[in-house]
Amino acid sequence: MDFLFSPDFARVGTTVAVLCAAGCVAAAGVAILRRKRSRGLEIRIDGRQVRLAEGASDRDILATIRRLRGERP
Amino acid sequence: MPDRLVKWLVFSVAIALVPIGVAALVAFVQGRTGAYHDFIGNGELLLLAVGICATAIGELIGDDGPRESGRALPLAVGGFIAILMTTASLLFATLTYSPEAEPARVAGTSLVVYSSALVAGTVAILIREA
Repeated sequence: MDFLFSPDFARVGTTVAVLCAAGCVAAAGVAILRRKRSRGLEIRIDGRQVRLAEGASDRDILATIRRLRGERP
Repeated sequence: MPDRLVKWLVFSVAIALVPIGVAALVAFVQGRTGAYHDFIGNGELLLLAVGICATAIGELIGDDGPRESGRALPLAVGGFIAILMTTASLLFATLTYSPEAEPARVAGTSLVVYSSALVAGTVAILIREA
């Protein structure tokens, strides 16, 4: 009980508060990074859709469009 | 800037600070030139920090449907904010009623805790908006 009313508790509490705020920011940062990583190119034609990974080549994109249209590759 | 964040900053943060601002204004008009801890040396900011945390948790709980960010992120941030709110409450209870607590130390501690609550609350509102 004495610890609660000591200056040490104020220091510990301040540190805990700062760490919690840093934890919130870190959690949000990780979420943003994960969302960026899951980004890609979504192609939807006639109700059919395919998601290509970010950085897919033009050739891959064209091939996917042809496939979705039912054309020959 | 998202609308919800602006609304929260104006109505939950800025307006809550009005009483402290009015106290400082009255002191200025009366010619009393005191230090900043004359206005926040009793742990007022700790109370406001608890209010900010409570609003932030309410935003995270009052969720409708699954979001792109999933459930883990709101849970993690909500947990941090709950710890922060408990810490602020304990500090208010102990610092303000401790006979040895100096107003300058109470003011310094509450400023740090209030700033932390502000950062955590902003993150919570932005998650809600996402």
